Amino acid sequence: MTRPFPRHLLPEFDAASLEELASLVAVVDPAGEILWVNGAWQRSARANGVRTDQAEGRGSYFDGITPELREVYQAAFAKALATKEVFDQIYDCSSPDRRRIFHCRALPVRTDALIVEHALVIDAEPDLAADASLAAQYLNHDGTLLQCSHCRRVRGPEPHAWSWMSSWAAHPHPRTSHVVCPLCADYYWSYAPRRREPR
Amino acid sequence: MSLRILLVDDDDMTLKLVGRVLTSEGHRVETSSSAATALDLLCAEHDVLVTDLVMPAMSGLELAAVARERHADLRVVVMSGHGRAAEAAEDITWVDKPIEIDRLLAAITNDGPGASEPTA
Repeated sequence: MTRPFPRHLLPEFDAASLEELASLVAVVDPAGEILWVNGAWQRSARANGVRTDQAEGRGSYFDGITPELREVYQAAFAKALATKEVFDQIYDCSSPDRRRIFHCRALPVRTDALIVEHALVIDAEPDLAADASLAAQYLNHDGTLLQCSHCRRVRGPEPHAWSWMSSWAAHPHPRTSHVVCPLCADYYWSYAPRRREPR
Repeated sequence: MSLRILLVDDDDMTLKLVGRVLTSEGHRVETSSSAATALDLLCAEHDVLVTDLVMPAMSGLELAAVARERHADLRVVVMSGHGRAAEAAEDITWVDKPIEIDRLLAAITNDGPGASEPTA
């Protein structure tokens, strides 16, 4: 059962307008507890198998974030509340069959709460034919395509660039060599905690 | 148990990362970025060959076959982002990319479920 709109925290806001927004909206308190979510949030959460309590606007916002990134968002939200400055971020949430870019904003309000919005700004089918026509720009001198085995991005076409190519994420190029991009190397091999117990 | 390992991959980053992990586990590791150089380094004292599958000039499976002709007892672990190759020898252990460190270590020491299930 969804929670009622926290009018005492957001007296100037039109609940119906927030409810009808196509973007995903949550209201969270300074500890990160979800106080309310709109319809788009609920529908997206259910479609993506998010825990029922979070889909209905309960629980901690940060529980939905991987442990390694949780502290980053906790600090960002705390800073937004302390400084009353909006936190915003563009992020890529693409899959092999869909290219998706989101814009996230955390808006601090006077009553010490945050309105967090995730707006889909790009939602497009991958252009497989275009990807194929670009293949030559990405192939190594020996005809192999270097693809990060973690993030599935491929190296090129600019030096030091790692690009998302949907067609190769869905169906690897026949001459793919699986490598590790610099960011994934640092994250997965240094920063991310090992799952096993130390010997 | 400390093993002498020959690690082969055409990706320098993978060589560095995997090499660092294996060394930190107490193994003696020699690295090579090509199959040809690996064959120059290979000797009877090597316990395990850990190799990438797709490499220019000579694949990991071709390297493993030549290495086994010289050193029949050599344990072979192939790291692959393509699943298991159907033509591979039965006694090759497969580790999927992206590499899970625990699976790789288990495959190298032949301790537990290090190998991936056949996928191709």
